[in-house]
Amino acid sequence: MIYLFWAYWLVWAALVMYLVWLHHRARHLQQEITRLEAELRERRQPGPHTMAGDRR
Amino acid sequence: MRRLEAGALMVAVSLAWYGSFLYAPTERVMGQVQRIFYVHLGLWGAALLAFLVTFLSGIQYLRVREAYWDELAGASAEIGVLFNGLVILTGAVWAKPTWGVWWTWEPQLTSTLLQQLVYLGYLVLRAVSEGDRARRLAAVVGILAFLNLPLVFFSVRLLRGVHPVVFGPDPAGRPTGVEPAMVHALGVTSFAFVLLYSALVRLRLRIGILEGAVRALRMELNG
Repeated sequence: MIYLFWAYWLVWAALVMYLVWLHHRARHLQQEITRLEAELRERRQPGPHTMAGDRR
Repeated sequence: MRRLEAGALMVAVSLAWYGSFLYAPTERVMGQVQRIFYVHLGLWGAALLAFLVTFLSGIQYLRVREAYWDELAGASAEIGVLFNGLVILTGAVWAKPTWGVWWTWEPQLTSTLLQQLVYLGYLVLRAVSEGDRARRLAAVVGILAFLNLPLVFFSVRLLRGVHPVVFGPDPAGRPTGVEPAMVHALGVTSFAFVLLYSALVRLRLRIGILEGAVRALRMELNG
């Protein structure tokens, strides 16, 4: 019975571990997207368009 | 995963454990070890569902050429391979005390292993190739791989092996039967695996889409 219980436990543990890993990976990718989007926005920000002289 | 879905999954898994260990009676000949049957066959059903989704998604991809169907086919195949691997593992756990060996080259086991290798090949093909042509090729392989499944199903019925026939007549034409309580336990366990498959495939699909978005952003950043 113990042998059987271990087999059952191993099957469910493997599946739950896979589920947790997928969650972790999805969260990591979502964070990466947020970071890359921010970087892209920063890069697209326009620099100064005018070059006015200093009249002081 | 939504809270309701996680709750339903926990209830189903608890019922599956209860059904397998307490509700279902001990089998007369094999004894306690027969209880692996519920998880073994439940996993096989979920693997079959996963491969069916890969097959149907492959057909749909060839029809409409939308990346979504290709992603779904790949995600489902990956989970199918995991489930099928566990089918082989639980089969070995069952075989050792009943047949005295972990593995034997009998028709059902051999065709299941062959099926696993074909889908592993499918996943490798997806991993090493990119582009529309590779997606089309993967869809065709996913469709052809599914055609092997009837061989697995009927091998136990048509070819004389040691693997038991549970439902329907055995190769000698003798009727087989399972006690109603055992069928209930199997039903609940199968339902738990189908729920788990549904959660896993959606999560894996989301990861595929997110990976695509990350690739696109990186390409844009690198010019």
